[in-house]
Amino acid sequence: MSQFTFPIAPETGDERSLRLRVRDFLAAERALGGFEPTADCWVSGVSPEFSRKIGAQGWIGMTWPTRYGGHALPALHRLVVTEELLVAGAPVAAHWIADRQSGAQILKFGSEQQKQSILPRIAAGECYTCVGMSEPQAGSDLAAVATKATRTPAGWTLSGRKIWSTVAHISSYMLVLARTSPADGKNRHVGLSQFLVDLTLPGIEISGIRDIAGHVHFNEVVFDDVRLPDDALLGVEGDGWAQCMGELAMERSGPERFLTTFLLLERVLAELPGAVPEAVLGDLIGRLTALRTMSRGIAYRLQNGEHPNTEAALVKQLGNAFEKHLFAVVRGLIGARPAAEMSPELLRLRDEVQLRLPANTLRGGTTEILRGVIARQLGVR
Amino acid sequence: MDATLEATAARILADHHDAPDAAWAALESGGLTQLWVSETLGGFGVAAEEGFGLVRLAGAHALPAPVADTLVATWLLSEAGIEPPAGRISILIDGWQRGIAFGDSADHVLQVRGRSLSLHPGPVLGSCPAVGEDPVSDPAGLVGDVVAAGEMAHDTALPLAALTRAAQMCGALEATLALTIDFASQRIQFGRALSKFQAIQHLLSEMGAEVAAASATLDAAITTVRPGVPMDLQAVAVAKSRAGLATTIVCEHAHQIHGAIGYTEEYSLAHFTRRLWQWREDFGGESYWAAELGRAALGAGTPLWPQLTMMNK
Repeated sequence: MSQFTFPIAPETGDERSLRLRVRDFLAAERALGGFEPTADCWVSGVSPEFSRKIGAQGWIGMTWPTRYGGHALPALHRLVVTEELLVAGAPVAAHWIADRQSGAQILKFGSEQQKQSILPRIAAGECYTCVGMSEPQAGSDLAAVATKATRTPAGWTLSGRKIWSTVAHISSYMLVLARTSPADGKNRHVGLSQFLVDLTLPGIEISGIRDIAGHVHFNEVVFDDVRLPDDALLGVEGDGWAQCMGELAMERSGPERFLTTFLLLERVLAELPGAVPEAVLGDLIGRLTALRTMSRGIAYRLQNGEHPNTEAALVKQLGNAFEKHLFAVVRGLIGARPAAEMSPELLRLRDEVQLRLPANTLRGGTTEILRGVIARQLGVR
Repeated sequence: MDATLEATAARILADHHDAPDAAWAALESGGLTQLWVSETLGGFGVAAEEGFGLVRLAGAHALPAPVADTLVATWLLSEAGIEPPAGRISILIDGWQRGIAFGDSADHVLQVRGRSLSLHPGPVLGSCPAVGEDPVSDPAGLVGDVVAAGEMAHDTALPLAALTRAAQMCGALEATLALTIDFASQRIQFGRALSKFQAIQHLLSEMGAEVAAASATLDAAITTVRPGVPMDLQAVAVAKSRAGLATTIVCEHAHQIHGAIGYTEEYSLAHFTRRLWQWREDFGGESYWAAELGRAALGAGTPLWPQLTMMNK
């Protein structure tokens, strides 16, 4: 009996027609000059204008209840939309994290007032959020977070610094993991809590960090005695670790873990159809189809209220490895010919992917952390 | 797989794990070798899934008996309207095999040429070499007499045989992982269990991921299989090629973690890895099925993504 469960969920007719609607919308947007496709678009393509259009289509917060601006649709519908957005290279980074994980956390743990005031704005593509987990001294070792929230008569005081927070510079809120009481001896998972922090509050400084290509998408955020209202505590005091693990299942299992470079393959096929050997292409199709099947299985389980945390880690690890493999194959095919035989756009896209690729196996949990998660499920840790 | 059926098969395989003939006899008397015989021909006519489940279990027990090939033969014969005989049936599909698996103990051999079937009496003597442990007979020894002959409506043989191998492989992959985890947890070196070393944990986690990927594509392909309907070649291609990829990594890591003991005839690891290497090559290896996928994709003349999203819908 397998330690991992991936139910098979064949695409329904409703999903199919949704997929075609999204595809038509994206084709029309491109034709109108609405966007230029980019690799890694869920991190690289920030466009509040485009996010509002996606919101207007009803493709943000799809699974949330309608009373909070959502559309009460199955998680598999959201999966279909995210696949199409990624493959098109659409500029969806502004709302991606809010839609993928923060919104779901607010829905699950937020107060009625928070849900009513924040979720409809996220669903409209107007309000963005970011992750507040990593710190300068707490990278892979997340339980080492030193950001501290202290109780005050009026609420909480927050001090510390978060780092690598993608889209923090355009976000309204950050979900911050902070220590609210000391660790219990060696058990550092206790005493951590999650906070929903309004980034406009006084005492917060957000500075962009340039990546190796000079782009700013991640940030360092400093909290200097920030006064938080009482209801900034998200969920239960002391349950922050478990809440974050649930959030990471949403963060890790989606198609952004294996479809960020697909447009490079599609471009090579369009431009150099004779250059791609059948067996090489088929190998990529086989690996990708396996990942899509597994990712669908996870969405199906999330839809049923399950917590497939390990399966999500597994999909992320295999997905990251697949993208490295895809790039190695495709750059080999490109490099086998003189540059003059292909368009400058193809070469630009190849180089763009190379510059994005190192982040894949780091963000959302490094390969080594994910292997540890899988090993624990196998019973050897 | 139906829980009662699974429990029955698992009990038989566990009870007779050192006696393949007894295991075969128990499976046969329980009707399990006739799962894929259609109802009109006196069989159970159960869903394809049950047969794949049985074959997967047999793979997990490295059962040296032709359960898989007999099931495939009964399916193909049923499709051609021929009542399958009782007993062990080996298969010989076009030019896909160097030899006939379990030919030396076969009651019958089903030879497939395209959609044409001819059933010959067994056994087939004269062995030929193979990477696997199961006996393989030289096709030159096949007797010319024809017991029955017929035509199938579809090109079912190769994809069904390949997918059946993928199911055997998934069973054996899971068993290889389980055996390796047990070994790593018990073997002490440098004062602690091998499984406590991060390097070993990472190898095991890679094995786990490969098993999961192979298993997911197998499950997806199985849902497409129905009697009388053409096989979904793309789903089969994905499952067989993904199982092949997983085999390479899982066997490599399993042998590496076991060290020298795993390389001995005495220890049980090779019962799985040798069969996996054999099944990986049977009825088209990864490159054959990948080329099938690639050829279809390149031949369609449309972008790849719309094609992929039409698969397995």
